[in-house]
Amino acid sequence: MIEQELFDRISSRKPQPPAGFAARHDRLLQRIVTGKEEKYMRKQRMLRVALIAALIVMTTGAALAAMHGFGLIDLMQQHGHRVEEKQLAQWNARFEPKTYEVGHAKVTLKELIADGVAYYASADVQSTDDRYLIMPGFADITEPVTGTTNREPGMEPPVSYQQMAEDAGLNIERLSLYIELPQEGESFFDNMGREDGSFTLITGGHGMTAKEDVQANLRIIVEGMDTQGNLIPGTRLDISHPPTVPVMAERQVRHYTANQAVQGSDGTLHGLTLTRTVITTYADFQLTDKERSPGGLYVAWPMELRLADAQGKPYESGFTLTDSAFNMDNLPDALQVLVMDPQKGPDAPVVQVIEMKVEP
Amino acid sequence: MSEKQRRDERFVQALTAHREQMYRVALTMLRSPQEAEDAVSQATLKAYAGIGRLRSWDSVRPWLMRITVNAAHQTLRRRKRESVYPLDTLPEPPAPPQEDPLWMYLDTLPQHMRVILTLRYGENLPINEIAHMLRIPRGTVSARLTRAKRKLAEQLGKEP
Repeated sequence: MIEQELFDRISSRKPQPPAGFAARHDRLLQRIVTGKEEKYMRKQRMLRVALIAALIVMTTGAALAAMHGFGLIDLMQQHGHRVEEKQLAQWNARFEPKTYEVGHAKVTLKELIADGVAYYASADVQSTDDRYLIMPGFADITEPVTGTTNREPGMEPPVSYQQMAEDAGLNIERLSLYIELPQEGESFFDNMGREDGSFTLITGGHGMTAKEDVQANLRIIVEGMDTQGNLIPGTRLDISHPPTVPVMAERQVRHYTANQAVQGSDGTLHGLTLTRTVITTYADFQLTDKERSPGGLYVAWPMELRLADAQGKPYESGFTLTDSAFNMDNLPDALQVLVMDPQKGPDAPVVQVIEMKVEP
Repeated sequence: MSEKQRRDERFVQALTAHREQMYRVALTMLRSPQEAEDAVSQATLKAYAGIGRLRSWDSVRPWLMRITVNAAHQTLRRRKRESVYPLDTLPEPPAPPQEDPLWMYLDTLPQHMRVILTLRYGENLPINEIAHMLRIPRGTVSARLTRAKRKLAEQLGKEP
């Protein structure tokens, strides 16, 4: 096959983005350059499916979850984290849920916790007026009200915020909730939606390294929106409240060394720091490559790094709102970093094993 | 106009110019229009957060593409880890825009071949840039292209 034929046949029939793609992206750009969105990362839609699945398979801790509705415990269990009832009791005892009314929304901030590395929060949101539909600020108006619960074959397609509002003649209010801390890091949002339009918002983020309870600034912003997804001028409400974030700062930190090139890339893995908190164990890989300084964002790509014990048994992924957390009962003296190549297919074979030893 | 305003303006211009290409690259990897759009959103946020690392606006396209590829890889890893799709509802490959059998065969190729063919012939990107985006040696790109073309030609040769 000649080159030109390939160019002609592939480039002339490129798939086009879905309808509304450009408009949605324009809005995202606008939010980024004008507002707070630059600080926040939106969690993938897929996680929301996982959240729904967590509701279905919920077993241990179900009673507690039932008391509080869907919340962080469900998310933790979905990620395979083993949660002790005692630990949870301590956790929940340290935060008093609070309810706020903004616009036509009632927001109950029901969980807020930090572990010296990250913070996590959940809030129930519902409409106080049956003429209003409240939607999460990060969601698109065309997304399903119930998240992606109705993926199973044969089920009715889920109704979107837009469709629900149009069908029932409802006004829409977009609600955003931010936990602002003195130290800011990458944050994320997700939600678990229900058919009646209420939802549980889950949020959290890294960069919260305080070792004692810290005062945050809770901001709730409500804006009116038409059924085409345009904000209605003059409808913005913005309230602030200073909740105290309980910090469970007990933690163990160990530094490990290696000095080995990561196969298939220009990166060198020269160190690893593990921080084990009451919630999970966070791994911070220190990498260097030829182009960037240590810690470069895309260093060692496209390899994926996972942790295994000294015998090579991989640790399970731990509870975290981003990547790089593992379930570990203790921090060992030695362990292995498994270098995997996700480009070689869905099984991501291990292409290299790097031994790591704790620093004296 | 402040420095930040100038930078934001260039950022918006660059993203507007390259977002469809970012979408197609993500779609090639993820095969799900919805996830591809999510990947573009993620990449946009990451790009803005990391704009200080961009050495020159002349290299903004490969930089954005690399971030997009990275975002799509994160989605693939998460998809595998969370197994959120029941087997019978795995994302279907996007329908070929037209009924050219080449697209059907292209879709049956392994991901690493499909991505490279799409980048090279669909997006008309030079091999150097593809190598930079995927962080693999230039020779690997050429070798994969050769193998992918051979495989595609074999498939097309079987056409009735």
